[in-house]
Amino acid sequence: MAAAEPSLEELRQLVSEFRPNRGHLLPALHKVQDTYGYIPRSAIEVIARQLNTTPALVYGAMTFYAEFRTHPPAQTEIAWCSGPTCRILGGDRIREALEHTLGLPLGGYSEDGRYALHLGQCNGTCSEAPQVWVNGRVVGRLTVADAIRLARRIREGA
Amino acid sequence: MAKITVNGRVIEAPDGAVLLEVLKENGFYVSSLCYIPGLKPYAGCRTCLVDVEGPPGLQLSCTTTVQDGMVVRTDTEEIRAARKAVTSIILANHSDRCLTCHRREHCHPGDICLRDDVVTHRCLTCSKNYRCELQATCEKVEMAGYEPWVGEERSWYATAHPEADRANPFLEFDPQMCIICTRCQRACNEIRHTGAITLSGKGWDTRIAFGAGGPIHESNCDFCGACIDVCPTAALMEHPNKWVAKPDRWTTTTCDSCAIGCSIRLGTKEGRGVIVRPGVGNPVSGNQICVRGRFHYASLKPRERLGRHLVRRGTILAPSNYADAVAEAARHLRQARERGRVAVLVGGTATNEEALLARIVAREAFGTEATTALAPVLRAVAGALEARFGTARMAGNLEALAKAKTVVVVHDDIEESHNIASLRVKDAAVAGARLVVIGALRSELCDFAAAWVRPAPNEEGWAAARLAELLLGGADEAAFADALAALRGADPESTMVLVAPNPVSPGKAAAMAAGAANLAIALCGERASEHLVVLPPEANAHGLLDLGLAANEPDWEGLAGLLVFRDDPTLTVPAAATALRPECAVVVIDGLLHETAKAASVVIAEGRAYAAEGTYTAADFRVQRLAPAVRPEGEAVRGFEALRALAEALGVSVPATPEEALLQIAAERPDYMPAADLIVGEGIRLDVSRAPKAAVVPLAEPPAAAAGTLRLISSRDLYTALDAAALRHPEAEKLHRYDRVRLAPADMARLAVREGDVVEVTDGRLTVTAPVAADERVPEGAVYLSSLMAGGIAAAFFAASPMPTVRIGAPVTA
Ligand code: SF4
Ligand code: SF4
Ligand code: SF4
Ligand code: SF4
Ligand code: FES
Ligand code: FES
Repeated sequence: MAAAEPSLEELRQLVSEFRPNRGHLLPALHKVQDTYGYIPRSAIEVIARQLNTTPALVYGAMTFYAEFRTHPPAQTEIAWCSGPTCRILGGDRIREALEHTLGLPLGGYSEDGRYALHLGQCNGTCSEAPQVWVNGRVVGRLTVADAIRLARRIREGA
Repeated sequence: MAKITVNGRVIEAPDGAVLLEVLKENGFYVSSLCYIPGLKPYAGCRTCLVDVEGPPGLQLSCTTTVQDGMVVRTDTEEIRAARKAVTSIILANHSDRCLTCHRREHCHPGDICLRDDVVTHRCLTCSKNYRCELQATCEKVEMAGYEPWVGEERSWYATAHPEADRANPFLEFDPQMCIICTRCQRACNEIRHTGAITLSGKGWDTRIAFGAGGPIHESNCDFCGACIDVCPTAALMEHPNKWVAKPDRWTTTTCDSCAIGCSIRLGTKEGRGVIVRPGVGNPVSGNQICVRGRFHYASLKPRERLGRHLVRRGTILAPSNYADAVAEAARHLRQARERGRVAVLVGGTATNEEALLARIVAREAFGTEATTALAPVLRAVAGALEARFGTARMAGNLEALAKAKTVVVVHDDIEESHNIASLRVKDAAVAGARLVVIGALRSELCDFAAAWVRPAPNEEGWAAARLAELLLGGADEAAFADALAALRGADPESTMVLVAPNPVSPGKAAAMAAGAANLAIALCGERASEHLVVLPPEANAHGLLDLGLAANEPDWEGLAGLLVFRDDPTLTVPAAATALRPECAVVVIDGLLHETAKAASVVIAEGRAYAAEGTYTAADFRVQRLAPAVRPEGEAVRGFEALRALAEALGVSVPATPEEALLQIAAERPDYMPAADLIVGEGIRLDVSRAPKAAVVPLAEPPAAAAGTLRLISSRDLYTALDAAALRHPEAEKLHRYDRVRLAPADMARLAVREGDVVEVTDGRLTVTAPVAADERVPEGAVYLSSLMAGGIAAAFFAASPMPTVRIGAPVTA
């Protein structure tokens, strides 16, 4: 499991170099993520206060960019592509298979933190549709049976 | 003015006006699911299509501005088809069964749907049914039977929906119903300047989120409900009335929860309030209100209000009929008068007309002047102002606030005490005004300020006076550098000074008024009184001032009788409890069985301000009308009627109706005359003339505080309901933020207390025990207690010492 959340003081120190109204929001988010591997919820408030803006604005920006995560990464990260080609080619069934076999909803983490299932956006490799990415690697042209096998392997820790 | 032709009709409209607004004003229907009048168009829903001659294709009327000679059509076949197509895209991700069903007019809640397997997915079981803008739009654009997607999978029905947030007592958010029109986000950001809402994610995953993505009550939302007003669906709803808000009558009246006097529309069903929406026409509140205005109509359940008159029989208060209760009340008070002194006390939510009656009764029947529990604070403030201006009535106008170029606020936190004034200050700051905030608490306003002067707790008034000295003397001082830079060279004409004197400490209140007055004079010279607004505690404090009820303070010692109208004085004045002895005959006219009422000989039940007909005089001497919206509970009567009946029983003649009472007030104070033909909602500003003088008077040194302990800060919080606080009701503050001892996080660490720990706050004599909460507003070295917490205990600390300090300790367990 991930280490305990950093303290507010530590977070304040970390982002103290950033200033309001200078386009520092993304650099601040990157710095937090680079330091901890994810962005703890408490960091959102700290960044908002440092940049004299609202937590909502920071959260909105953060969730817009897929690279930011609000949870420490799992050992195996599975991203399901929600893009149009994948979905036309049966992506929704793949998603159902993954969700069911892993016992996780989209955006869910296994209790032991070993694997997680995410929503992905089309990355242009539609020739491999329908696909998922396992730790960033494309696993494409999936059938429902493939997806179940993949999910079982990950679940069993292979 | 431009002339344009719409569907063959020629209409006039201002050049450059938003075409959509012009069309609606002139009665042309145009669907528009994302536009908010007055704000920049978002152009997201794309349903407001019209045909403008010239450019090819259809135009969005919310982004088109009026030009002379324009020829517009809103009703062609092409437009109809396009609107339906666009609406169908929105419906693809909404529960649309009932919207497009051909037999929806025959379908009733409780019927079994003939086509839907999941019965809950439909308007007929939705809380917004029959009052839904999306539903009405579908009706208007004739969506029934428009189902080109038949047989397709509809994404709304195929998606697992995120859970609704029903975790707070005010605002419910159900993302299932959201059509991502972003109106709520823009209202919160651009109208309220709060920014609690964001669009999170992107593409398929776009969603409305609050704060840092958690529950609403963990965001910086203040529950004003501006987002609810603009939401076109059931996504954002008021929690208390989500299912019951089907009023049979709407009444425009005035909020009774602070001295801004916002107009509200109170929807009632069988005489009981079921929903509040902002009123219209009020030039200060516009179409905004705060959480108190929107939700405090329901601060108590109907059965928690008094529905029966009560007469003491030995140790119990027994129900009585109205005539007997009035006769008993008169008998008790007459006998008391024979024994000694009788005091008459009027609460801060009494109308001017009710206060007049109380005053006449006091004079004629008891040979005394009516007064109010607010008198100590009001008198202290009036004294400070009179010394500098020769009058206590300032001529500043809150309407000027939003357009001011320089604003100074001397306060504890008007964001909490007088929320809509704070909103107008933010309007000014966002439009570029230089804002200087003087206060020990870190108010939300500090985020908008060019300079924030943070004095030692309770020394706001002295800080303001010091700033005035520096401005006049041309000197600099490090602590004031930013403030001086912001204020030097300010144009007096567009400068406003706001002061909200502290409600619990007369000494602090006087210093705040004095400091703000000096500052206004330093900034605006002899016209200072026209640029200063005092925001007093409670809704009709300035009415009570004008009627002379603030002129003297009650002497609680040795009273033989006490008549109290709509107030629990023990909540504001600790000394009031001394009057409640068996030797003192107490008669209470109120809708609550509070501490004072429990000690009374007779309680005449009445129906609170929302049942009253009459007027309030708001902070800037703006008279606002109250229209009877709710019916008094049970056998309770209107407050005015109770006073009139009691006067009659005492043999005193008084005006028979609120209108006659207002005319009598106007006979005495001619500036009240125009109020006689006041339009409900709009209000009329009294003609307050410029003060006869404007002279800076230095302040005496602030009282010393004991060293080494925590200073106590107390002020009115945003959430506690006055009436429920008088009952010491555990839900008087429904969010449970202000029934706690609030400490700076650093002090919590130093004192080794954690969130929720129950502690004792004591000055050695008085003690209050409550859980602790961390509060970034509170400065280090201070403790914050809401003025209404624990039966108004904070006032008792301030009565014991002008600059009270306290210790915090773990409670002694039995
Ligand atoms: S929000 Fe409106 S359109 Fe949607 S289900 Fe409710 S009543 Fe129907
Ligand atoms: S209630 Fe007011 S503060 Fe809260 S989200 Fe809605 S608009 Fe913003
Ligand atoms: S919650 Fe309401 S106002 Fe906000 S985006 Fe959704 S539908 Fe629009
Ligand atoms: S600002 Fe004052 S008058 Fe306006 S709604 Fe809030 S409590 Fe009522
Ligand atoms: S109202 Fe014009 S696009 Fe929504
Ligand atoms: S008839 Fe509309 S849902 Fe049943």
